[in-house]
Amino acid sequence: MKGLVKLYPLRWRQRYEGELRRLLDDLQPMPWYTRMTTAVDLLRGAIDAHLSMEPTVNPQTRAALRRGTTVGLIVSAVLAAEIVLSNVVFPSTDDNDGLSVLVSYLGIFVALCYTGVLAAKVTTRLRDLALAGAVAGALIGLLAIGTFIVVDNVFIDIVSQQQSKIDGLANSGMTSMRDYINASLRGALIAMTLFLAAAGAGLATVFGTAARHATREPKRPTIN
Amino acid sequence: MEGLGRFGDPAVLILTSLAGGPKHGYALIKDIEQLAGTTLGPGTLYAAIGRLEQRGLIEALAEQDRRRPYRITALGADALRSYLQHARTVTTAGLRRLKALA
Repeated sequence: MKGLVKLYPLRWRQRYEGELRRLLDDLQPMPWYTRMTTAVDLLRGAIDAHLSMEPTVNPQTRAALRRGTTVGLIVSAVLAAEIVLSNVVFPSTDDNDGLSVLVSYLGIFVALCYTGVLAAKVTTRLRDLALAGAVAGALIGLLAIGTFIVVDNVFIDIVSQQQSKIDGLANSGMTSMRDYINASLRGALIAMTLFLAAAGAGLATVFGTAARHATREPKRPTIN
Repeated sequence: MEGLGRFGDPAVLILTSLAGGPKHGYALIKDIEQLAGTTLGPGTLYAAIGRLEQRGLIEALAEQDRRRPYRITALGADALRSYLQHARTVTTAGLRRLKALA
């Protein structure tokens, strides 16, 4: 968990890192659910520190980024719950998850479009819309695959019974299911984060621009 | 506590705790737990501490064994007093109206 402190900006860490690390030591031992909530709290604090310690960031950009971050975190939380439910609580050994994957992707794309609509309420700049969407997409990609990394490693006995994993291991030439899963997820972490960041930037820009045009007041007729 | 955004509530709790004397991070969390029944996460605590320090409402004391105590400043005491007096006015009016409603 102390690794999360590294996510804070350098200037912030120069001032508070030592005492925050000491506080985390003082709070040990923590039950697992407290560790989870503390990790989320630190992540939120790091994002806030980045947004609040950068005086050169335009207020419009900052507000748009906050909206992107909020959407990204909410969607990631929903996806994390779905991943845990479908892989651990109600695991399936056959390959019938096509529909849930499709619904998840649709939900993500709708959320990225909505990020643009939300950001358009606080900024007039196209670049801010793209940034908000990119942040939302990158967070979703990073945290969703991050959840898979945790779930697949912690509950490897359950997830290794999935047919797709068994077939993938057989075709990979590897001998360890854990090595195969982690190698796949490392690649997915980078690819999915980049893909969703790019998709988020594009969708948020298009839908944010459309929302701005839709809400613009109609021109009053002129009397000659 | 204007301008503190969603850290307004933690800021009030921290100032209230420090009004009882200087404390470091862990002591603040434990005191606020007793005081208000709320557990502040370390990220929330330090986000609020940073804002309070930046506004001159609290100040850091010398570090002791990697723990840095903070104390409330005169400006912080004034800000807390003014906030609590306003809250008391609202609370009194709210309770009076609820009593009339019952």
